[in-house]
Amino acid sequence: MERDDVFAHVLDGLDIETYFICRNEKEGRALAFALMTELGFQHGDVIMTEPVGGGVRVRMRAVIHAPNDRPGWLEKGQKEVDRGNEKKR
Amino acid sequence: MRKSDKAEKKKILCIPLDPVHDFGLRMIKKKLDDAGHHTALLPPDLSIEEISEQISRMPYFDFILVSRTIGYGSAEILANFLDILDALKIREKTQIAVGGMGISKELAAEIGFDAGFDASTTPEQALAYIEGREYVEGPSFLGQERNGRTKRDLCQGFSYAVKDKLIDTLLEDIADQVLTWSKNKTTPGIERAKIREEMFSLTDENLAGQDRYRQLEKRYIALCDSSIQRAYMNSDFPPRIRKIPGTLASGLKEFVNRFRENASCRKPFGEKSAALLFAQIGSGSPIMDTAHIKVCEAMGIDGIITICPSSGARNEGLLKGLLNHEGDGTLLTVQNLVLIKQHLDKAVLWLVRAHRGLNGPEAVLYAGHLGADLSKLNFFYGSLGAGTDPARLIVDTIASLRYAASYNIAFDIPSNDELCGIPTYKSFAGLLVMAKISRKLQAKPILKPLFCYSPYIIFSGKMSDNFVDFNAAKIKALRSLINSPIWIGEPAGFMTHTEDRIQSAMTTALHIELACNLGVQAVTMASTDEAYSRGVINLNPRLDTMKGAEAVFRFMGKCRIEPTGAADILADELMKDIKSVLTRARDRKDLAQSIYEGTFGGKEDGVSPGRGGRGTLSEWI
Amino acid sequence: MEQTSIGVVGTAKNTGKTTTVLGLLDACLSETLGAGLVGIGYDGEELDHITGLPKPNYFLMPPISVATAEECLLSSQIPHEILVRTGISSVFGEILIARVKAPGRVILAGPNKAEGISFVLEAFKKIGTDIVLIDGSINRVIPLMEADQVVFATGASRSTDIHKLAKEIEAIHFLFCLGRFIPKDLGLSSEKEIKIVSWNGKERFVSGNSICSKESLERVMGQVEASSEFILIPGIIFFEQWKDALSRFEKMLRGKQIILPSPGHILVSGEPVSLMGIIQCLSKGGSRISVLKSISMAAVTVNPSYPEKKDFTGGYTHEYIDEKNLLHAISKAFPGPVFNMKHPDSGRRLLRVLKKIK
Repeated sequence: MERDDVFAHVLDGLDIETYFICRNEKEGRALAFALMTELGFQHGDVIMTEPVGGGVRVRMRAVIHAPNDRPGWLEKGQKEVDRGNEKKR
Repeated sequence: MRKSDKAEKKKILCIPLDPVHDFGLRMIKKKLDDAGHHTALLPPDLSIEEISEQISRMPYFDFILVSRTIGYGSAEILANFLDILDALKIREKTQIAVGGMGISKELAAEIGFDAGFDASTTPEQALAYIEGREYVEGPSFLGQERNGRTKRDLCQGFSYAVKDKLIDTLLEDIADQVLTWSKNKTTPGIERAKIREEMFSLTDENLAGQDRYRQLEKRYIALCDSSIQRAYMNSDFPPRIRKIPGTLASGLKEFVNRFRENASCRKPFGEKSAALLFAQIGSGSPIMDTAHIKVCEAMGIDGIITICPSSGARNEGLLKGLLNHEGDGTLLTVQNLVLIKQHLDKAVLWLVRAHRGLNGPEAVLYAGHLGADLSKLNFFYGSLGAGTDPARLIVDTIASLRYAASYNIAFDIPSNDELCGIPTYKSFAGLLVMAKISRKLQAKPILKPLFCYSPYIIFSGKMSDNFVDFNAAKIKALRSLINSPIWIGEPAGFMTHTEDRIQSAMTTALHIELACNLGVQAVTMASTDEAYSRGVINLNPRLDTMKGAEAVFRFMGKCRIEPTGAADILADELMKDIKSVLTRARDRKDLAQSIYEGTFGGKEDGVSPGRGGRGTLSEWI
Repeated sequence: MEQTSIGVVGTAKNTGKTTTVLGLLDACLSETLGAGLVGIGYDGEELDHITGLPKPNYFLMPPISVATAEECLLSSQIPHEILVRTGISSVFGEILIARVKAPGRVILAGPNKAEGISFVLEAFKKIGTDIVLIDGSINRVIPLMEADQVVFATGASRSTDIHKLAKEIEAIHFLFCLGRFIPKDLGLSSEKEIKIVSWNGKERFVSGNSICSKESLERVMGQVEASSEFILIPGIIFFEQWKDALSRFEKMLRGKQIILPSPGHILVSGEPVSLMGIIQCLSKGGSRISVLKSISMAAVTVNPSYPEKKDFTGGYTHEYIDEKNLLHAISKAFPGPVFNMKHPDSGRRLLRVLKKIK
């Protein structure tokens, strides 16, 4: 399955949680952004950072379909309806 | 740093340089007022001009505290404000600090403030700054005894007196019988433990000592299974086991040191709740375990249980070396345990398990010799729920108890046999027998009932309405029977978890709260990966649960979860049923046979006695 | 060479102050001038606290002298010789002046107020430093009024509207060209009070050192008489407040001089363009604004780059406005030299200008 196809199935967003070994919250936040960029995400945010022990717990969110986007899953659904109609014809 | 001039009361002006928010400053103001300082607070949403006008007309202040959320453009606003204060000649006698979201000490200094505080600054920290003293959050818990206090002895103050005379008599009879029966028996596990004991006692590093060590090791190997022998002789390890490079271990030391320098840490859970909180950790790698342990320590965990693989328990003999195990559980080797212990916070309790398999005595020996505080022993569970032959395990366990007593380490008696289908009362009968035997050997047992949704409970419908009453009944029954420490076992809320993280954290946290309300001495928590059985447990899921528990403690405060009247009825039933199990066992006059015959759990419950190590008992001549 | 001190003032964060200072330091080294460096507040981190973008480093060569906090000097591990212990304390310890003995990176943590800068400049003078460079902080101005000359650093971080930037520089220059108040027998009698002096020597005082509101303006104006000649304000005036009141007080202020400590004391009180407008209005009405200390605005440096918030990184990237247009527009607005310090040799050319002015 192609990347775009996969993401078309995501309703709104993708949350990623992890624990970074790093010096402080600032570094943890920077790592979170770097990770999401590395993973190829353009839009989103860091929802939570929490320094615990010698690192930082983070939750990041990549926005796949924003409310004002045309969601891939709707278009996909429409395409399937169209294909179905084609077949019927 | 300024000298502490706590006695002198300061004049402080609080300025929210923000359109709306002044909550943080209000809290700080209250703290300062309570400490007797003189404060004034300007309202939010004033322009710089209005603030300047007010300041220029006010009397002199020792401090001005400014709050502002930092964002793009606000550094210029703050810098301009400082300039104005400079121009108003305020700065000559007044210290100016800034705090708020995104502010740091360095950013505040860059702008030109005399101090900077981030959004997590507490009113206590602000007070310390005003009073010119170092803020001490509380004792630093990493790498040293917690505030000079020693670890809590879970068994202290308990007499182990059995309160029901009949049950006491039954237990005495059973215990005496089994101790007599086992008196002259030995096992390969016991013999290996004796050899290991002598190996530990060798202190001569000269040739003679090395020679003796080698001889002993040779004898040890001879008593092991072939898979273990191959590992010793040819470094041919069983599948999924491999050596850990030495560089990783030295890298770990540096990591832990950096961790100690940078780590933030919270108060131990045991200070916030009545019960100590334990986590069970055994990823397969003592290195990963250590990383998890350090973070859990920083979160306030009171104790760690090192989990070893179940496969290890089935072999005669324990491996040697710093070893990784690809799977659940970290191998019980001296080197692995030394590594874990080396980096463990001195104030954190540590348990090394020995309750199943063929290496119990040696495992307890390891625990005692390598500085663990606790172990785990229960031949009922080990034989009915974990595959070891009952007779073998009874003899091994008695030897283990002697080691535990000699090293003065307490041990818990787990009742996870409930999860195999064994009814609670049978499992509890086993707990009491174990406790009695232990006391006869001067060991220190801790009863470990489960808060669980076991097969027996499901079939009997005892938790059809809630998870409170039957768990409460368990504790009530045990407390009515024996004066003993109680520790809710691994993990609290077993079988109530799903893979849903929130649900999992919630159910564990509530079970922990219930346990604390019922006055137990310790609880073992689950991670939110509890129901995920296919792979490794990550760190975040552990933290999930700990955060959940914190949130529930905060929610409940001094309030309590109260069981209904059903708990009393269920407790009475339990006690009655326990009595009948013990009566049967006593009348049988052979505890091992009682186990084989299902008195403590049998086919009707869906269990059979284990076969590991069957036929390996021998008699002393 | 008689010591000169040069303050580099930014119109905003990230306008190129440090780049300007570093360019000047390089130039001083190549002309074997004894250079000293001090910064306002704390600087020298690798990444900007807000944008996370890399910042220029203070990589210093001997024999530059630097005033910085003891903690920062020690943690930099740069070989150095301590020349002066200033006694000024900061969050990072006492501020010392040290001579760099080998190349290395230093974090600057200097005095964060005018008084401290004045003290440090004096200390540099005593040890014979030819040129002292003061790296400003954000858009702070007041501590830099202790310098002999200022260079303004502006650029796209302040605004991406080139016309707006140019207008602002024009206004700032206007403020720095306000006349210096000369008469020697008049001084600020008390830092806390506004003084109104009549041509006949009569003095009246108004409590407070600044005019921050309409009420305080009324109070001051209430003390101004027909015979009043000078109104000395030791602090600041929020001229914006006067906009509405100007028409009322125009007659009263005709022929009078309002004196403020420095151009910086005017600049901090509002937007430069607006301030210029109000002061021009006052001038038209026959009043004069002058300053006690006149400081030359020697040059302007421009930085066409600005941090733009990226959609997801939450961090920022460098974006650019048209550099040629920027240089051209600022050159039209400011009669003195304008440099982009990223151009080769800008540091030397700027230093030449500053030496000439001195």
